[in-house]
Amino acid sequence: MLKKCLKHEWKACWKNMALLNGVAIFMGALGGFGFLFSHISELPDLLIVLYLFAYVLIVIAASVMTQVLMIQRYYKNLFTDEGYLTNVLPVSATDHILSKMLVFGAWSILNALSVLASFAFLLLPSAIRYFTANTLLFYNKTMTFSDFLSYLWAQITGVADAAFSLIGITNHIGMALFSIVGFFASLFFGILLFYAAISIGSLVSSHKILTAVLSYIGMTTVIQIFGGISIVRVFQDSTPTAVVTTSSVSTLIITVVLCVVLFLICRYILSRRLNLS
Amino acid sequence: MSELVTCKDLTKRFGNHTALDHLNLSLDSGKIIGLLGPNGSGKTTLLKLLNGLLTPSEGEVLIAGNHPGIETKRIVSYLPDKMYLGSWMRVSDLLTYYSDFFEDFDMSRANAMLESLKISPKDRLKTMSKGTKEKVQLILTMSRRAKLYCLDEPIAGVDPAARDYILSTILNNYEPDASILISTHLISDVENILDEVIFIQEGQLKLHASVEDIRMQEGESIDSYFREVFKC
Repeated sequence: MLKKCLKHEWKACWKNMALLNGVAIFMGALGGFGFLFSHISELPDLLIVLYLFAYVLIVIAASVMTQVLMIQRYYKNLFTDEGYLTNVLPVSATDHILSKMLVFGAWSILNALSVLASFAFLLLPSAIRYFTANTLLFYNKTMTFSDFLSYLWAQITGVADAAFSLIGITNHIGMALFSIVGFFASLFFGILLFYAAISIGSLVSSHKILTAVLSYIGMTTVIQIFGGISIVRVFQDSTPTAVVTTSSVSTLIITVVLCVVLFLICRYILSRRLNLS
Repeated sequence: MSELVTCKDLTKRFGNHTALDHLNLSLDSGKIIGLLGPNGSGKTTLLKLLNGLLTPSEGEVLIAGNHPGIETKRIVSYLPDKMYLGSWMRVSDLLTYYSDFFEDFDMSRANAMLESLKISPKDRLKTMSKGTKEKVQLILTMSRRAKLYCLDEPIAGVDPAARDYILSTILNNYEPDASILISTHLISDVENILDEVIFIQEGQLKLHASVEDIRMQEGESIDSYFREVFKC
């Protein structure tokens, strides 16, 4: 059933999400190609200011609305009138939560990629034009655009290498895997925190949204306090390597445990304490 | 006939208000049952408990021997008194949705009913009137070959001409071994199709009897008898 849930969850969300993120990419491309085919000095200042204002607004709105719409989807689909269909499907609470969480996660990643693509569309055309019109002298060397990108990549990896060797990490593949796991754990933790707050809000007969907001604030505060205490304890360790590895590993373990706890809270409420008003 | 629904001391409280109060009830399969009672008597609460949309405060409800859950949702088809369909959907999306999730969904039956009511599968819900949306919801509910149909006010929002079609739809589209539980205030419209009636008042069972027995013993229609029992 999870596959079917995912299919219909994606179908219900993709149009709004694609529109939001598509507009962000389009705005970047509009600016990028606009600057490419005209000289900035020839454009009226007001037009540039208005465009940049609209661009920043749209990119921020795309990110915020992606989160807001996906949070709203969980609430509307399970705890309002739509829940009268969703909750009578022969589907387990686990499948409902997992499908919503995975689609939310996918759109969060796609939103980040859209914002990156939007920046790239905005900046790359002008950068390419610059490099084709001029040769860049860098440390007395002439650089093409591809040379510049290679140089940039080498600098980034160089800084990362230096940071890793400073704290004594030599296994880069392990570090990369650890980072990927950490990324997904924190992504799903963020989503499940919203879901758990909404589920707790559904337990009261009135002021459900207010209760959800207060639950979110309460849970975040408690997690921050206990998370802070555990990190402070780790810092009592003396070597930088031990501090970084212990704090990273303990943060990951805590995040994964919290994901499981929040997931179980959602599942319990949905399967054992559902009360649609 | 076997016992399809069992309620044992079923109680549901909302804060200080008791919507259902230690209700004991058993329903057999193969019957059309009218769930009747004044406003706020607990009819919708009972239907929601049967569908797992509410959690009992006390007691239990069993459908074919199971507590409401995945197993019971496979065999119960529910029509709530709310518009539960996403307005962004087309009718064709809903048909796919139902056939994906409900193994007992009969697509050809749904298409035949849509055609009779001149509703195109391409129509979007947001362009439909409230009455048409209710018809779509009823078609989806009755297109399942379920063991139990729970219909909450299925004819309240439609015009009298459509009521006849809906009632004949209900009559013609359920399996002989299935039961239909209909909650309604429009008793005179439905009483001719009912086998049994349940009267509920203030969350308690007032009467559970066959329509034939009531007519024989009281010498009046169910509508008249209801008015007499619940006279204000």
